[in-house]
Amino acid sequence: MAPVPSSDVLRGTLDLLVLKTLTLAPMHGWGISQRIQQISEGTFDVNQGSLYPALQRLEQRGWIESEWRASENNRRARYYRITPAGREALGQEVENWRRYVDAVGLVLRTS
Amino acid sequence: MAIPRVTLFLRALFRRSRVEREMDEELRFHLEMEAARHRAAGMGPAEAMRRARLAFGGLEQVREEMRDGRGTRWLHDLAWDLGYSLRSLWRRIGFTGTAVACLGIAIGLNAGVFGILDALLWRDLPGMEGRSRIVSLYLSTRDEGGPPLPTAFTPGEYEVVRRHARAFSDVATFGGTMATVTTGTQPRPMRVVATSDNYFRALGTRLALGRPLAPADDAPAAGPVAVIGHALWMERFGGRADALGRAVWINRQPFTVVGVAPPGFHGASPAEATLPPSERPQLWVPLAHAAALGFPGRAADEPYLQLAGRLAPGISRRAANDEAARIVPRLRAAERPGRQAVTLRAMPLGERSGESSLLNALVVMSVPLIVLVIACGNLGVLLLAQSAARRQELAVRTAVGATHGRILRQFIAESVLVAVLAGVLGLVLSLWAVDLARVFAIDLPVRPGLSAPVLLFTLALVAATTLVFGLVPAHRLARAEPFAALRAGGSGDTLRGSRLQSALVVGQITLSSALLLTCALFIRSTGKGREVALGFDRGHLLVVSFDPAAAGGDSSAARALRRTALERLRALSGVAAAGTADFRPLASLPEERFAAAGAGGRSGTVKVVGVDTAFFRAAGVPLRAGRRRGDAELADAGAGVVVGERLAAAAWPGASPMGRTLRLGPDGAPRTVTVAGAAGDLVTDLETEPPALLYRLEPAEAMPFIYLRTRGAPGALEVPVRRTLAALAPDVPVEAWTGEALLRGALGPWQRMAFGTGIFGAIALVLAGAGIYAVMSYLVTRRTREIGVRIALGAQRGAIARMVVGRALRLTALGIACGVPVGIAIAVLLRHLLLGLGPLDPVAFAASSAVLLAAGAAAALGPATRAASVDPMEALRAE
Repeated sequence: MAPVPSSDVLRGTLDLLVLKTLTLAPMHGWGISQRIQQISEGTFDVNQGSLYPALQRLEQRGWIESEWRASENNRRARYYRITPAGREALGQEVENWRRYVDAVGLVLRTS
Repeated sequence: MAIPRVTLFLRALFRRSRVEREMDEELRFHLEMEAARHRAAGMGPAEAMRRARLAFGGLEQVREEMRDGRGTRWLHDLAWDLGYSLRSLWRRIGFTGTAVACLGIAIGLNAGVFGILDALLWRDLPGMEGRSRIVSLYLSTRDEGGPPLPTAFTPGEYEVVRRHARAFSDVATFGGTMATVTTGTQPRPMRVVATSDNYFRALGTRLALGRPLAPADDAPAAGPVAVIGHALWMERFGGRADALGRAVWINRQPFTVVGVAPPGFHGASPAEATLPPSERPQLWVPLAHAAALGFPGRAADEPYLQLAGRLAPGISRRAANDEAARIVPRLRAAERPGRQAVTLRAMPLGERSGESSLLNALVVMSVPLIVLVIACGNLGVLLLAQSAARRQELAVRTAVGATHGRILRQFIAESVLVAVLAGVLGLVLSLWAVDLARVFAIDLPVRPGLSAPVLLFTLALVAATTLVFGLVPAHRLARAEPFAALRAGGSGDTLRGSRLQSALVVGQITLSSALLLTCALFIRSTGKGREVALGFDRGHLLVVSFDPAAAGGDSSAARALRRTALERLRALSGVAAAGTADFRPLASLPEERFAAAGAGGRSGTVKVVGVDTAFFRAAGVPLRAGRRRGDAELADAGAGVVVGERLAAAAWPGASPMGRTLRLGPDGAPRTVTVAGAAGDLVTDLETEPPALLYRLEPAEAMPFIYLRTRGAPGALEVPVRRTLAALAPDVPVEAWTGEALLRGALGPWQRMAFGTGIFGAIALVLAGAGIYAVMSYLVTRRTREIGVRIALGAQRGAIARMVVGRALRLTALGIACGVPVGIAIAVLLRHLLLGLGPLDPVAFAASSAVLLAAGAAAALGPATRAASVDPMEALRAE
């Protein structure tokens, strides 16, 4: 398994991944964690629990919003949905991330 | 639409249980979905859940992280801390009550005294706006080449200042005096002030009714108008608007009422503002009519005016003072010869020239602050005593997982609660500050209240006591070894704790002893003051003030009136002799220079009084030397004087003064007088020796004070005297004093100081006693086992009790011993105020020490009794 990055970076990327996931469709927490697991091919599997503080944080910032609905098996679950502000933030974060990756790559190539 | 952050926060705060439930439901949902996924892959239910939990990570940690993330954590913690502290304090209600009471009383005293200072110095006076912008102007001049002395202003000097002082937006002048005022039928003496036209404007006064005095009123030809005080308006005109236009008679001249001052307003004179309310100014008239009040009038060159000014916007008092210094040469140019202005100074309203109000304020505040320190000492003692009792509680909390920081925070919360409760109690107590002022006979210009400075000051005190006496024990407690306490009978660092306690108590007693010593010195001074020989026979003297000339009118009529009054009073059955004088005993007297003629004659200064020939017999002043016997001898002395003993000894040492001459008065205008007799001296001032005194012989009807020698007690004669004078001249105010009353009045300051320091000393004593009680009580509790053992082994219960009391007395004695140098220092500082005592008065020292020792023993009685009644079986069984 690939090495897990430090918690700060992880937190930032986790927010990013959650926002990205929610652009596709509203989802409950477990659904989001499954999706992230799928997409990252197993990298972000440890500590599923860390998702929920992140969701709380994102909701406080107003980038996502939540409501209680019936889930696919008729149980009550909390569904999250991205907000317009969230979409904008996502665009900004993606841009930042791309720039960061380029910069690191540049450093690694020249040194 | 996204829910705003504030809403989430509030929901987390007020719907806490619901938020928690939702969180649990959400997390449980996740786990079950994950477990279902594993079950679908073929795992058993138990295994599936275990896998799910593993993949999830620490459930409780996630919960905690989410709780922290809500942002309400600190609030909940604070609420819990406060709740726990309240319950904890309620459980230990004895400690809490004592601590709050001690601290509350001390804070109350401080807030009260501060409130009094605030009212005297900084608070806006009623009816005046912007006290900090109003200043009093003080002038000192050199008259006839003498030293520079403070003086009133002449009208000419006022005009100069008014014209040239640009640092002020207004410079007003005023002069107050007593006059006879009639509003209905009854004449009454009242204080009336003549003012310039801009007086009310300078003070920023808005009248309750009508208009203020205007420039038009100040013209000599203008009709006489007056502004009346609010109290006078309510009393005589019923507070009705038709008071405007009515007339009041001042010294038998009519003045029309044009305005009413706002309630509580009493003018810009610092001296008048602190008079008792009944003597404060009640009428204001234009300066043009000052002559009606007996003032010299506007054109004259006599000094009788005071000045007050409002600083122009943006000008500081220092800038104003600089400008005032530049005005002095202009003043000199305008003054009459022989008078020369020296300094002109602007002081904040309410402060006298030459006194630093800040220094005085600090001195006054130091006494209640000492009491506060004593109270804090108590608090420290109590808290330290608590620390041992609570070590079990602490140990349990630490063992269960409370962090050092958390415990510290909760202890600080306790200290804050105690300090805040004490602060509230203190503020409530400070509402009686007015009564405290009355004890010290301080008349306040405005009622002290919970103004911003007082509240801020109290808050600062509360914060300071919290910091000092909350942090220290809290830190020590939180650091204590938890398991040592859980083990039986652990007494780890209590030895250091009890030494600190003892040190605190000794400190308290030291301070108390200093206060009590000061009180004892003043009490002794008052006692000694009563024994001072005053020079006159005070047991048989009644002094009556009867001054027909003050009501205005013809002076020869006044003289006739006085003559008749004197005859009628002489005829009263209780009167043995009657004489007159122009002064009242124990009052301050005017001074003049003298030069004695003849060989060996000296010169110097002398105090001068005017008396008639019958004075000496009436007042009981021994008439020595010369051709004594009978007033007839003195009557034909003409322009003669009687010299006091000291004067005789100073002017003609070793020789008889009879028949010699003296030159009196300033070099420019001397008078020569002949000595016709020698008499005893009079004490004018309790603190100093009788001065060199000269009695000028004057006609009896020229002087306002009548001295009656009574056959029996002088007090009994007052009613007949008043009746006689009222029958003769009903509209002339009469005042009477017995000799004893005069002495009591002069001793007033000492009595008040004794009473005041006594109150503070008593409070300090009670606090120190409480400290001793706490220390002894704690000692007994800690050593209960040891006491039980001793009793079981045969020790007498009486001996145990004596041991406790003996320990308390040793502490007290140590405190007294430390207090001796402090007491001596205070006594030496105050030695000028002590009457007939040296600073090392042994009686005062012995008395204050005895009181302290008695208090210490009394405080230890409770714990001593408890120690003596320890049941050895119980003590040895319990831990």
